[in-house]
Amino acid sequence: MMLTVWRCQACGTVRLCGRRLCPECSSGRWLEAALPSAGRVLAVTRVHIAPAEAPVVGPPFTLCLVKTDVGGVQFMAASEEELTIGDAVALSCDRQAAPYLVTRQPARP
Amino acid sequence: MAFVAGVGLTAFGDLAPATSVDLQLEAAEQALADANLSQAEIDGLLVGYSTSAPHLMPANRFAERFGLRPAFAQGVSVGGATGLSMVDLARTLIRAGRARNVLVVAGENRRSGQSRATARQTLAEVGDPVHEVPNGGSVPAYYALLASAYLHRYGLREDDLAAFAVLMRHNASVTTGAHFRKPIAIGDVLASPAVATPLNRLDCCPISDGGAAIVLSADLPGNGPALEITGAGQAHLHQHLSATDLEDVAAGAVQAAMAAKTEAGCGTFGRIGIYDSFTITLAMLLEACGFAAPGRASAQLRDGCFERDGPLPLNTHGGLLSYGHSGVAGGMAHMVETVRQLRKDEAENSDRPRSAFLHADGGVLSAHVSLVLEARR
Repeated sequence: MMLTVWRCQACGTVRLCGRRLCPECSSGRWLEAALPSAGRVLAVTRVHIAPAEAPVVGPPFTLCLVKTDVGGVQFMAASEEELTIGDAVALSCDRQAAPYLVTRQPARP
Repeated sequence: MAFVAGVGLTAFGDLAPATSVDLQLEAAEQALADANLSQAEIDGLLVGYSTSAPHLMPANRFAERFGLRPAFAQGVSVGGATGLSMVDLARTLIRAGRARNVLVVAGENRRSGQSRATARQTLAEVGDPVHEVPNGGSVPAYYALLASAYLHRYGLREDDLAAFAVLMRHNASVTTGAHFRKPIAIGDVLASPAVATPLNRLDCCPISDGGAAIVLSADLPGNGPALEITGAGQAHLHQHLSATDLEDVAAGAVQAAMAAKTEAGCGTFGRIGIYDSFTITLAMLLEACGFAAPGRASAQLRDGCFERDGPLPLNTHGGLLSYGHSGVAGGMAHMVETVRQLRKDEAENSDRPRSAFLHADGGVLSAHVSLVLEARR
C-alpha cells in the first residue's frame, strides 16, 4: 500500500500535509505524492484513557509515531498490537476507522 | 522598562459555583490591591481564553464586569504559553508607550464548569483534526509519546519522571490554596492508574478551577523590590507533533530561552518557574532551557538541585502538577509564585540571586515563551 503525502516541487521536501509555502525554500508549488508504507516506530504509548471513541479495539490501544523508511515522514497511527520503539511496521490508511493504522512487520536489517 | 507592580492568585481546585469570569475578577482584585492601583489607572488589559466559557471578546467581557475602560484590550490564545505571552505583550505595550499599567488576567472553572470528558476532548484538539485526533489522540497521549522517546533515548525509567511529581507535591504540601497537598512518594506515582504509558495519573496535572492576575507598570512599584522583566523570548516552530522532527521537538524552548537570557544578559538565577503539565514536560523543558544537561534533569533533581532550599528552587508553589492547572491561570501561577518568593528573598536579605527565569509551553511543545525577571535596586 502507498501513503499519500505532499512534496514541494521546488526542493523535494516531503510533508504529511501540504503547506501554503514550503518551510525550507518558500516555494508554493506542492503536489500530492505516493510514499511506501514501511517505517519504524519512533515513540509509542498504550492509551488507557481516550478522549473519545477508541479508533481500534480498546482502550487500552496503542498510539505511536512512525517515521517512513522512504521520505522520513512522521505519522501518528493507532494499533491493536503492543509495539516497542524501533519496531518495523507497515502503515495503512483506513478512513472508516483511524486515519492511520500500523501492523508489526518482520524485523529488517 | 516594565515592572511587576502586583500579583494575584486564587486557590485552585473545585471552586464551584464560581464561573470563569468570577475567578478572573477575584484574581484581578488581588493584583490591583497588591499594586495599590485603582481600576481607573489600568489603561491596558490582556485576558486569556477560557475553554469552559469561550467568548469572542474575553477582554471586553472582563472589562465591563470589572469596571475598566482600558485604552488597549485584547484576548490572547497560545495554549499553555498564553500567560507568559500576555506578560511579554504587556511589557511590549509599556515599552512602546501604549499603556502605563497593564492588567494581565486569566481564570477558568475548567474542573467544575464542564464534564471531564468535555475537557479532555477540547484539549485533544491541539492535535491535527485529520491526521492525529481521530487516531485516539489526547494531550496526555501526545506527551506520553514524547516521554517514551525520551526514556528510550537516555536509558531512563518511569521513576525518573515520577520524581518530579513527588517534588511538586512536596512543594504544594506547604502552599495554601494548592489543589493537592497530601505528600506522595515515587511508589504512589508508579502505582497510580495508567493514563497513557509511561505516564500514570500522578505524572499528569489535574484539571482545576482557578484564576491568576499580574499587573505590569511603567512606574517603579512601591511594594518591595523593583522587579523588572529584563528579557523575553518566544518561538513557535510547529503546532502538531506529526509536523515536527521528534529528535528536535524541544527546539522552540531552546530558542526562546536563549533569546530571553541574551536580552537580559543574565544567566544566573535564584529561582525558576517551568511549565509542568506532565512530568515529562518538566524534564524536557529544564534541559531545553539550559538548567540540566540532556537526559540529566532527574539526576539533578535527585541531587537536590531543584528543592526549595537548593541552588535552583523550582515551582515552589507546587506547579501545575500539584497547585493545579486551570488553563491560562495555571501557567501564570509560576510567575505569581516567583514574584512572591523574590520579594521574600529581598525582605529576608537572603543570599539568593534576585533573578528568576520563567518558561511556558503551549500545545505539544509547540508555543514557547521565556521571561527573565530581575530585581533593580
